[in-house]
Amino acid sequence: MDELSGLWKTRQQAHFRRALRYWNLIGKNSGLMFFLYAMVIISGFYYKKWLESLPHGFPGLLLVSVILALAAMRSPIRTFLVKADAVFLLPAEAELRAYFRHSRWYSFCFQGAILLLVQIICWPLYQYTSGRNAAPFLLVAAVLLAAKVWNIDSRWQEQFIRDTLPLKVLRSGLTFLLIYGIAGGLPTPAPVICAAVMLAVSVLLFHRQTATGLLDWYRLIEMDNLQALQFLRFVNLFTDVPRLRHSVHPRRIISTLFPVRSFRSNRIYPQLFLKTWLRSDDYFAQYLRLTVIGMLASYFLNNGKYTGFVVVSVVYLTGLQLLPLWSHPFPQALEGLYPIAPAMKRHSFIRLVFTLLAIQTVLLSLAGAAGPGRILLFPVLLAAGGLVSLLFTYGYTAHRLSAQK
Amino acid sequence: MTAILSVAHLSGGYTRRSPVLHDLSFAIGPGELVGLVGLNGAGKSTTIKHILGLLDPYEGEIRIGGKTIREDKTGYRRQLAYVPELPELYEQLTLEEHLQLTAMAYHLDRRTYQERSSRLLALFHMEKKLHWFPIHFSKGMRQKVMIMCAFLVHPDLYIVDEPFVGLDPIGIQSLLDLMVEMKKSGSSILMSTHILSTAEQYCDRFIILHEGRIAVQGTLDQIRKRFGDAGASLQDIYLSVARGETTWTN
Repeated sequence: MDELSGLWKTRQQAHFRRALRYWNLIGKNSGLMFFLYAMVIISGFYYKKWLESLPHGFPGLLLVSVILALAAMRSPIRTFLVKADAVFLLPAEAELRAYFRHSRWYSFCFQGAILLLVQIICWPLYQYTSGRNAAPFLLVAAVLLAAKVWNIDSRWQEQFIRDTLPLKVLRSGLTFLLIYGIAGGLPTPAPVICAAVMLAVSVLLFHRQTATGLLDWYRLIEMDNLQALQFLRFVNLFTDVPRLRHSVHPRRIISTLFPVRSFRSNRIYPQLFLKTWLRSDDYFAQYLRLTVIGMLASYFLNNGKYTGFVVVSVVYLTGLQLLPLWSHPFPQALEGLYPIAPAMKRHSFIRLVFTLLAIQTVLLSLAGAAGPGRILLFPVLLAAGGLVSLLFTYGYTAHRLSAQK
Repeated sequence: MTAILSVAHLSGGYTRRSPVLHDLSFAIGPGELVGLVGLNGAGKSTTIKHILGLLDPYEGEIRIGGKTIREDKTGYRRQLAYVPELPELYEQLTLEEHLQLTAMAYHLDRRTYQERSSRLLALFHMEKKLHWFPIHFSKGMRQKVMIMCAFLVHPDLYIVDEPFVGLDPIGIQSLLDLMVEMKKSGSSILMSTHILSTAEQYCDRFIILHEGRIAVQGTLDQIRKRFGDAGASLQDIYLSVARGETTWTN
């Protein structure tokens, strides 16, 4: 089957082309690129300061091992499969061995590189805490890559197995033990035994179960979709991405806080946008994440001016994250025909974004003032964040939306 | 009789260079159920899109309750409800929220909403699925949600596009009963369908579209008379038109 053997190449090239176009767009957004560079430099500076201030008994080895183990065992496999493949490629499953081998190799190269990057970032902390006992960089890197190979192979076998939770626990445990065994300088037999157990598990458990299992296509496609979505999410920080696929989370408990209270027609879009924000895609989680990170940063930064910078940039980034909500597709047969003036939709959207940014500003300012314990800082931060929220919504967004129509 | 929907010399489509519809004219009066019949690609859905205001006519005009969409967009839209061929739902909203949003959009008060919605839910056996999300619905249930949203509104004009596909027999009967009931209360209905036996039984008049033109329109008896066979079924007539034996038409 010549067509099938060329399929991987075609898919991968198409993916690269698409990714390249997005990177191009990201590169052009110089303001945000600058912001990212600045963040990298600033965090590098604080990393060093943080290392110097570490207490004596700090469990650095454990922390590094956990981080590396997490990076090593998270091994989603990039297959570039799409939904229609479950219909069209399913009959050819037996002939797709080479395709899936390519896909595992690709996943390994990509994740291996990221793993090494994580190792480089962790290395100063590792060396600082383990001092003279530090294992050589190359040895740890080799073990990490070996662990990655094992994890990707096991993850692939899991695609044939129905109940994977116990296997995942086992896989994580062994990966952690191996990495801690090497990095933590345990006596030589420990990591060697661990590696032997891993091999045995591979042969006796994973591959044996696989022999009788059926490949779960839908799970495989879901896994690929999630990875594609992650990349698009990241790109979405910089530019608008036409969405890949929509996921919905019911969030029943939070939803009960926002029932339909009034049947007035001006309440329709606040309801619609709010529920979409809560349940669709990742809007809500993204907002929480940025708010929590922003609060932590504001609290620990402990410095008036820089805290202002954090508040302002987090509010701005969150605002950017909320913008795609506007173009979230609503069904034409319903929303498209509602007898309601379009201006009402615009106003509701802008008000929701402003409310969310204002709530975030209050939380960030509280954290920022609580850090150094200076109450006077609170109104200053509040004013800075509030101003950015106002400019972003009633200035920038309002302008952009009314230009659109 | 003042027409609820009047379409006059409508020509339209997706590109000006190759219009799909050519000079359509018809009217629907209060309490009338009119069947829009034609092969795939005859222009049924395009006609419907024009009436909904989703496409702009190249020539001619469409009035609902005497108004064109340009004169009063919200007023025009308030008078009609639409059941599409392919159900489109808010994936992020529950069934109940679909109904509530519809009620809000069309200015129903809470009491009316509650009365109508509980009746519709019972009719389509969906009472227990109020808090479900569309992802858990089958094609037929999705269609039922669209139908409930449309019939919650009680507008002057219903546009119903191929509504029977995927519905279970009880669903089909409930929909037919509802249409009869709305007709009696004075609403007009334009329904496109391929299920000719049902159409023959329920529609007051027919518009047979062929290649973007109205091949023939009128009551079944009027059409039979022109066709020249008083015993012909709608199916026979429709097939004859579809095969291009159109010397007897307009």
